[in-house]
Amino acid sequence: MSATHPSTRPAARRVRRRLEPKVRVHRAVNRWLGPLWVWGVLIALVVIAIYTVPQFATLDNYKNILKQAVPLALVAIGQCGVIILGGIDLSVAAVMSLGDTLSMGIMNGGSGSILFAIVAPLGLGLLIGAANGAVVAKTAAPAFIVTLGAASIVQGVVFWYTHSAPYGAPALSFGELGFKEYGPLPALVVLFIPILALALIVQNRTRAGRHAYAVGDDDQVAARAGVNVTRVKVATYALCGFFAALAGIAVATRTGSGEPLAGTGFDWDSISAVVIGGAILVGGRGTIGGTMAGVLIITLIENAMTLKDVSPFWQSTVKGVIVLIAVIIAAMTAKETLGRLLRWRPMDAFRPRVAARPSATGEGGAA
Amino acid sequence: MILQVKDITKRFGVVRALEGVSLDVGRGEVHALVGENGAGKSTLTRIIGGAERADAGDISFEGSSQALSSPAAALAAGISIVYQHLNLSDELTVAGNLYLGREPRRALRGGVDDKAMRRAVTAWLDRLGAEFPADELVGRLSPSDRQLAEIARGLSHDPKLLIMDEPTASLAPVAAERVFAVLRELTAAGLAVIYITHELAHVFDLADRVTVLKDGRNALSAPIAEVDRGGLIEAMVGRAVEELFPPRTQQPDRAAAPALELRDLTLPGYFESVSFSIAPGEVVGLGGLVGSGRSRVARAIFGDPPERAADPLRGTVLVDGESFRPRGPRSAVKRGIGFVPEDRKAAGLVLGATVADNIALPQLERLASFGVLRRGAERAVAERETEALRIKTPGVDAEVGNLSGGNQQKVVLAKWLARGCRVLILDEPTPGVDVGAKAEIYLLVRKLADEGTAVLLISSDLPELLGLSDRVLVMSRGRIVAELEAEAATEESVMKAAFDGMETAPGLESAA
Repeated sequence: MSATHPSTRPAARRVRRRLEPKVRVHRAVNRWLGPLWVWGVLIALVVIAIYTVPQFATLDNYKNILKQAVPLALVAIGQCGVIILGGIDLSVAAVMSLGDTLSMGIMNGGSGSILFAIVAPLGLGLLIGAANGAVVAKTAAPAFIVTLGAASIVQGVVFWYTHSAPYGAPALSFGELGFKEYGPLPALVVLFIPILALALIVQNRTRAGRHAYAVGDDDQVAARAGVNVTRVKVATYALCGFFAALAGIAVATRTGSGEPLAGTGFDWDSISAVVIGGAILVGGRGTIGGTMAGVLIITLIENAMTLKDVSPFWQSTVKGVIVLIAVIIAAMTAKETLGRLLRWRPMDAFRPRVAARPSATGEGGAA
Repeated sequence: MILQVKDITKRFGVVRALEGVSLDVGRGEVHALVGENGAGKSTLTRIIGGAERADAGDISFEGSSQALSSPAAALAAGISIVYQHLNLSDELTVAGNLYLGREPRRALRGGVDDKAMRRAVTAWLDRLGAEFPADELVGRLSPSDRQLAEIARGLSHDPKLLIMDEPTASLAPVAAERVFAVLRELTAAGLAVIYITHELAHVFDLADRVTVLKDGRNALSAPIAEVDRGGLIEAMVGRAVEELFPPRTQQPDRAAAPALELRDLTLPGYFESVSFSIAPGEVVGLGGLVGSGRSRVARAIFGDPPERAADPLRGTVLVDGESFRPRGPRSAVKRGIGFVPEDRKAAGLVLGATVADNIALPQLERLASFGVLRRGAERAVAERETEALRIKTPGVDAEVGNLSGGNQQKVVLAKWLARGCRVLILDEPTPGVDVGAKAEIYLLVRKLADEGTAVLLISSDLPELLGLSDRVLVMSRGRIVAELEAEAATEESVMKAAFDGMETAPGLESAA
């Protein structure tokens, strides 16, 4: 017995107690920024746009892109959390419209309280999200259908509230936010940065973040480890609703009134951004950093195509192609399809079967 | 006694999982729990761990029954379980997994204290002789290292009672020795251990007492010094073989060209150099413990390799003397290979579809003209088969999901009967099937064989394996370790071959 004991062996192997620094840095970068190839794609797109799109490489346009990106970035942060859980939230667009119109309605051009105009939609977004989460966690209903239903309900309420027409108006000081700049940065971006920082810390440095990944990877395993799976789900969906409402308010700073369809398209765009950023829809994987790269890629493509006068119909097609490519790459890395494709030897099917030994027909042909 | 289990009974529907089982574990004692697959070991551990409630009987931990009301309560009271099926999250690090749900917080800044977690986990990993760092992602560990991480998690809860379900199934031998050494230290300090295993050598190596479960009852409970290997095996398998099995009316013609032949079939990491042949009309049983690679062989023949197999299948499969390259279920069905998988719900049946739809599924092209399904023909085939098999169903339009387990299994068989096949592979055909339906299924299999079909039967149910097969092959650790004629084979000889194989076979680690 003691003869086989590892410590009594001569020249015991030195055991690594930490990952190698190189791996550790790589992991940390991946956790905070997401997959680097997505950022590579973003940089490549920027370079292409600079050379092919006139008026792209101007200071005004870069500020424009960042400003445009903020609402989508907000929605996508919430969506990213839900997708890490293995869920999906299709109600974000409607909740965003609700946030936009409700805040404008309450503000009513400055006659209402600005604070209430911000807090009320956020609270409502939180509640709608929590309801989504509770239904998804407590019943076997798929998130896709639950949130689709919620989207329809909320959008209906928005139409009733606004009589399906632009509604309300921002207070003067509030409306300026969308156009003000602090030095080279638009005010919206300045306000967004602390929110992003907070989200990144929650993702990487808190129990809540860990638990979301564990639940998304396998909620049974998480439950057996003592994680309150229901609470994690409800909280994550609630935050997603909160962020969608916040995005609606952010849009309101740039429009003169509440738009009943302000959120249209943000459901798909947010999901696309998260998936481009390296998340997988079955859950357990995905980062806010990668999602931000996805947001910038989508916004940049829209911006560049608008400058180029490409019709909005084609913009949608191009976005679709890009999402498809990202999803295929993600699926291939997940299932090691890429490796299998590289090892694939289609000509094997035509070789004689009997010979396992190398023959004149050439084992070397496909190698 | 730290744990006292008295006359526990547990039923799932009509199945009696446990019947009057008793078990006492004292402080500092390693109590081995052995028995065949399905003997009730896992159910018992689930009850002790609070995941399941007993229907009747008393159970107390440190004199109180409160501890066993829920998994969380059991854990809080000091009962920690190392599961056989790994319970780790791939996307978290080893340290993150060990402290999942109880992460330490940093005193001042809030958030998770990764450093403290890593320090505590590293201490356990050092003690267990693990060679991976605490900040490695679990998804990147080898099966053996994952198992070690799982054991480290069980120990890191600082339990009073540790339940280990096949903890060493995928551990490398050196690592297992190290784990045993740690367990000895801890039991010397008062830890009680319930150790479930198929590896009898470990029982004698580690245990102070041993309890044998058989068909959900206590078959034996004794200090380890009072039993020997033979006694354990006998207690595990000794039962009367019922008159369930139809007589063999015809001798298979072994001289004829084999209907199925495997030559040196190898799937690296799962099984190695598997060679055998089955004559037309012959039933060959493939025995061995769960995880010995039996199911993998069957699925490989059907062209259904494991997702993550790094290397391709090597070796040759011959069907009726012609080489057949397993490429997927479609090509297998075309060549006349039928497959009744272990998990019939996942792979054998479309539960939401009707009986008729399911039976017609493998032969839709025959029942269609110009691509349009002839419903009449489909119904006719289905009705013929349901009648022939005495499938108890309100009609061929009933949903398969609503039938009983035995009848579902008959529908699976009807699928292949209706189509007719040269080779039929049955993977665990009767778990959860009542005795009456079992007998009918056996009759069907025998009938198929008599009509010339070659049958490969995989079963953990030893009487079934011996009663139905003409010849029995035993697998262990990915290799065939014995071939027995049915007349000569006994439950003891099959089990003995399987256990001997565990100890002598050069060994793939965990072929599950």
